[in-house]
Amino acid sequence: MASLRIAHIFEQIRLGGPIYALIGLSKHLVTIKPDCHRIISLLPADPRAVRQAAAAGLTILSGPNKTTIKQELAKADIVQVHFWNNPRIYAFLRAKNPPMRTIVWCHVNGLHPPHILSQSIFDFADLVATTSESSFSLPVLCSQPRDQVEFINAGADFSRLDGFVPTAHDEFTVGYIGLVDFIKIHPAFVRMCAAIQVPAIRFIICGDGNSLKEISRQAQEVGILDRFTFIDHVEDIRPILSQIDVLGHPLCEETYSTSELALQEAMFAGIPPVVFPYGGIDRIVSHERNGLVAQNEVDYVRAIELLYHNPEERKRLGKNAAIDADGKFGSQRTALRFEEVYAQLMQKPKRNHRNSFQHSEYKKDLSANPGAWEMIHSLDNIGDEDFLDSLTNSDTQAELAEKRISHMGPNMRNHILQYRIYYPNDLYLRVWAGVMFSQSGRHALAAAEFKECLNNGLNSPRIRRYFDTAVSLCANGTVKS
Amino acid sequence: MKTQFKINNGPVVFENYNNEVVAVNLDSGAYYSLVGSCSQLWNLILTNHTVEQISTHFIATLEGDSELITSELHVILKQLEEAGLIIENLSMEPSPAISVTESAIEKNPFNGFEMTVYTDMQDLLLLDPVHDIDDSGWPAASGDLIK
Repeated sequence: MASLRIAHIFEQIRLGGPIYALIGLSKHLVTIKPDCHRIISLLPADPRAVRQAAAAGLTILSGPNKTTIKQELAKADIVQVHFWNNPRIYAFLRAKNPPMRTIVWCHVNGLHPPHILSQSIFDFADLVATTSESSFSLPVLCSQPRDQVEFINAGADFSRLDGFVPTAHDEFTVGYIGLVDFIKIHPAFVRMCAAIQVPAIRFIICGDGNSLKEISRQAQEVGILDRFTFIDHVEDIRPILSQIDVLGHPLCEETYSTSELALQEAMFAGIPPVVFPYGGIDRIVSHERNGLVAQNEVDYVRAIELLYHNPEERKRLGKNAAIDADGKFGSQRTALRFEEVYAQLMQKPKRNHRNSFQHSEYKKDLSANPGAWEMIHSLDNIGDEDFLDSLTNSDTQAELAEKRISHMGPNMRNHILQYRIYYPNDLYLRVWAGVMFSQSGRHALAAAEFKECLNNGLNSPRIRRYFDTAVSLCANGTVKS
Repeated sequence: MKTQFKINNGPVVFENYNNEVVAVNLDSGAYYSLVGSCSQLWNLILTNHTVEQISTHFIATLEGDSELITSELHVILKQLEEAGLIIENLSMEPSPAISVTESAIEKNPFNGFEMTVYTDMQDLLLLDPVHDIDDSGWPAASGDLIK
């Protein structure tokens, strides 16, 4: 039987869970040869991830042009869109593409904006697969036809841990593995580390991310930097896991996380995790069976201390963690599920995807400020009120809304910037980026955003005031509008 | 040869952030990231030091060939001027000579004057501007706080 050909659409291939999940998946899919996975990274891929994928026999097309993308889509039996809410993925969903069979695999849980699973995803796809069971509590999922939604966990490739052996070490070691960014990690991460009362404790932070410097700064500020070891992303995770006694995996309340491959791997290695119940994590970790689920910061600190003082309990939880990870997760299980859904999809003909983006109301909104409206539509009426107020209300009301926007959390701030970069000519996205920069003390960047608005016709009194304030707070602070 | 420069306060705004200077030319819309010795250079220009004083300072504090340091200094000054970030200062008195502290006796290696130009802010995201820092400099937290 000829191998199916799958085109995978990513915004950008980086090192991390999704590419490892795909590599693991490709090893176990019997109906698809590894080289029949065509991975399209809409932005240029991280060369390190390209090397790893190539070593597994996968083909990555890094930042291909539109013609190449369309050729790949036309040749594919199935197109698999790897979903996070970002402007490039939505641009792909909106594009006029050839007839396709489509599955959207959601790598976010959809519980908090901006990573909403919008109705437009369901309108687009033949099948939507979530990677977190927690997503099934969402009204948007409940309202879909049952045969259009599946749960397919992204399983870790446990063969990466073949030959794993814990090593003896003197210090009690708490590890965090994964993206080092406050869009994911709990904001009080360092403060909690500092509060743990354990002698000779060590913290290993393994991974890349935008918040490495900030975590280091905070650790310095509270006098525990010497207890931290920072390790860049590693291909072989075994030497890191071998030094860790407890996985401290505290994610923020708004986390979009789902399958958490690093967590699965640590559990498989017999390392008990301490987590918060946010996102999809409490579907992976069962409190007091295979780890500890903390309800607040104090709880987290006490949980780590408890595991230090009770090595037998640590051992028991670790043993259960290994049993549960082996029994529930892993890329082999993911592959079996995909074999089923790919077969199900192949029963359907390829079709044109005329979707909700063609609606006239939607198009009307886009006639001015298309970037801002695209961002609002991606939120699907969840957490979009302040953006609507900013766009459609008087100066006073808009200013109040923009004040609230300036205080939004890391995930939404990151989201605004992604849209701002993708739509550089959209002046409202510049206003929102500007108020956010001002709030972060980035006054020169804020001034640049407001100046662009003033130069291009968005010159209401509040924008002039924003500009003057930003400039006055710059280190030189002399330019006037 | 120009002997003293100043920041072009007409169209230029800047901020010091994590030991880097981020400057924006509001006329051109270009962003500039100045790190290491280049950020130090910016602050020396800001405090009205002459080119000669700046050159003497870097030769005293950086490990490397003094001719190379001087020549690279003139190159970066030209680049800053061409970018519209600095202009010749014809009017101001120079500051007193820069004192070299004891700690500076241990010289740092000279790695050039590093300035990166961005026509949009995408790469500036690497400067980590998105995190929600409260007044105390910590990311804002919710829930029960460890005091």
